[in-house]
Amino acid sequence: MTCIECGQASPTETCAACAAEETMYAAYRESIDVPPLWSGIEQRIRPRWRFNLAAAAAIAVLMISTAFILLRSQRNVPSPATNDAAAHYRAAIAKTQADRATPLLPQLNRAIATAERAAARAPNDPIEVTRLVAAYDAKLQLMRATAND
Amino acid sequence: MTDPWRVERFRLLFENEQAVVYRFLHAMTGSAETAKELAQETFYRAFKAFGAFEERSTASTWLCGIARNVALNHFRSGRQFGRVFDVDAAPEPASGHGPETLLLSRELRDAIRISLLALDEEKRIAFTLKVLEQKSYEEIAAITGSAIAKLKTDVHRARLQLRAALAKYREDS
Repeated sequence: MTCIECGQASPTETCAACAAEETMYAAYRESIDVPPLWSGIEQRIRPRWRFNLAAAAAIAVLMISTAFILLRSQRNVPSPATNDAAAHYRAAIAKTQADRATPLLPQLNRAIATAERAAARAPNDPIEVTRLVAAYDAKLQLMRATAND
Repeated sequence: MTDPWRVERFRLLFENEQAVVYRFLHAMTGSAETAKELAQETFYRAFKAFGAFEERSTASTWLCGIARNVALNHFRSGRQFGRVFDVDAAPEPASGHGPETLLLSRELRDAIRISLLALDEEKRIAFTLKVLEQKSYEEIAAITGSAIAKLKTDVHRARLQLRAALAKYREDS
């Protein structure tokens, strides 16, 4: 019989020399420790994903911030209707001089101040604009009424 | 964007095959540091081609094929100065844990490592896969693209060359 590994004459399938070598190579194989490899591989295969995630998050934050700023600035700009109404009534009130002070006047001034603050906070809210117009109108009517007395 | 599920599937494959790939590259380069670097490159390339892996061959065969190409590219890229350095370097500490490892002296371990490096690349690949990694000739043929008859000749010649190189240690034992 010949050895299946080296072809030398052997009483067994694998000769003693080859069997000893196999043991030696198996021991060599087992002596090689595998170091940690995954972290180095992961760094190479994941960065793109992390970058994209970061980019997507940054874009989302940017879009939300822009929308927030736009909405805020839109809300803070008084509408032409509010400005026009206030200007109209202020001019009318300035022309009208009441002959005598009325106890209702300070109350109406406070109502106008409150309505102006509310209209400034929500200049596009038709209810607040209506309240402002009503407050000015009440004062103007009162002043006209007292002026005619 | 990298699919996290794909990464997880690949990680499972990596866990199963990392030892084979690393040991193969360790035998090819004789250096723990170079083997680590090339193993990471192998798995990185494998990850990029993971979608195309259709399991027509085993994962081990597929990965060893990539590792072989990575090693050959490394040798041809002019970075094989490490090979000379490795041979002259201080011996690596014996780090295995099995009873056989305890019997393998550090001197013999380094003698095997250096003798493997003395083989030409084709013989080293065939010998490492056949004798160290216990692959069949059919698997080695799938990895290397060589004919089985040639692989048998390469392994036989490598065995004789190593036997001569390690004769001193065999006599000692």
